[in-house]
Amino acid sequence: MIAIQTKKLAKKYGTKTAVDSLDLSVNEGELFGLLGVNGAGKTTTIRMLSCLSTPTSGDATLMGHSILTDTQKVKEIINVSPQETAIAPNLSVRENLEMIAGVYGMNKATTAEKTNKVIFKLGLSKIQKDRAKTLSGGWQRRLSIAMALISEPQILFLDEPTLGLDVLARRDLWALISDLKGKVTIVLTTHYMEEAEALSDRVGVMANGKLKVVGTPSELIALSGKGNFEEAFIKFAAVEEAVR
Amino acid sequence: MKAIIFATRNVKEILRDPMSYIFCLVFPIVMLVVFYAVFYSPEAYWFAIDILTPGIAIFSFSFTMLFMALLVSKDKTTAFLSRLYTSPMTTMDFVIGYTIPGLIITIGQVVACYITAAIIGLATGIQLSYIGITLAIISTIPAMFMFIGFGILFGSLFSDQAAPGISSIVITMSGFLSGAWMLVNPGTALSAIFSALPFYPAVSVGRIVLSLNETAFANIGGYLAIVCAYAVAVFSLSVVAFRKKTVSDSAIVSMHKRRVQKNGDA
Repeated sequence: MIAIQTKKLAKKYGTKTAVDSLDLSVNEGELFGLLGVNGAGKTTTIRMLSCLSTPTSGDATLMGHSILTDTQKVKEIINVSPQETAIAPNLSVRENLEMIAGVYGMNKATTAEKTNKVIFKLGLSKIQKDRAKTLSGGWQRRLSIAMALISEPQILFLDEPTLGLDVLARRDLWALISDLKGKVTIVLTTHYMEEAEALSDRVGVMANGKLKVVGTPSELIALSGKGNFEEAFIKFAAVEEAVR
Repeated sequence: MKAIIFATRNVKEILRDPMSYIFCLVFPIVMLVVFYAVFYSPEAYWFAIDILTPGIAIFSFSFTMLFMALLVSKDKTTAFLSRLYTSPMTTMDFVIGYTIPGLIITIGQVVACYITAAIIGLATGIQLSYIGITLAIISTIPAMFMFIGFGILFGSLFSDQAAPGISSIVITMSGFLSGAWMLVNPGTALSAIFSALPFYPAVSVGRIVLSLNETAFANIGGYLAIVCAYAVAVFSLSVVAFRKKTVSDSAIVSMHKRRVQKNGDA
């Protein structure tokens, strides 16, 4: 089943086109890497798909629900881990998770059950009573992802989940994200090519608001005629860069 | 329910900042006690406990406004609000969620002020009517909404660096233009200015109600109308500003751009 389907999705800011007639489909349970250089349009695409931004034209359906006409339903089945660590600093780890569970309409018993489950799954037990602001960057990011997972979304948007993390914390999160593969449909944006290659089932490269190419990492390497994924990405992203 | 959950988070965020207790609770009570103990005399009768308390109670709300402004502006500046916008929460959930903590804190402030006043009254032999105190507490409701509205308004319009500065203007105004601890002679130009702003009428309503003086009650309608008008206007404006500056498409884009400038990404 197709989880995300965009139809000529476009976003303009004045005369600038941020996303240009995007046609993209992501299968259920797939981890789709959305790549591009700064300003390519990937964050704008995620903002539209997560109902934060209204498209100028076109539409997209998430599990069959339109982002234009069925916003509330879309919001119930998605969750987002934003690029920046989005946590309530004076709340404990547990309280942050319980708050998000409540916001997604869970009752007290379900909230407690899901919170315990996520705390266990993400290894947050030791720090569950600590205030979020006292955690290291890596743990804050882990909490931020836990907050995105607690609602058990059908579609999860991970916007630069490992930005600014050290190698160990990044590898830790890779393992966590890999574990979600097949269970949740994930759209991942990242600037780390090795991350995209290691985690993604398929990758789409955006440039100048357009989807330049889609395929598995190995398909993209073969298509580009380059020796590795990073070189392949540069080839697809840089051609359009020259036109900018 | 979502609004209550969000409100609970906001109450915790404010009350877990020790400065909120110092500014919202300790400072007004200390002011009340010190002003009465040091300045009250039969000549300086406006420092009498029944005249001073309604003024300090209204002035204390301005600190709640400051903490509300800080909370909203910080939530706006970080990605926390963006995260919640992708959840099933509605704009009304956000507004109610920010208003409830403001109400809880301002109710706590006004009750603490009047309890302190009652204790001072008992200690000095000045009998304050409990009916008067109850009515005086109730009479501050429009002012509560007005100050909460100011907080949401400033938090929506300004950054977490600018919001405290803007709030301090209103804090100063609510202290000096309310006649909380000074005599305002009726019929003067100063009293006309004081009466056109909401702070002096808000204090006057409390003083009239606390006194239970039937003659004074004749003036309450005009004062109450001014405070209510300001409360409705400021609160409505704060809802509009919140929608426009934090929920709207353009606001989210500009917030994201500011964060991108900090972090250096697309």
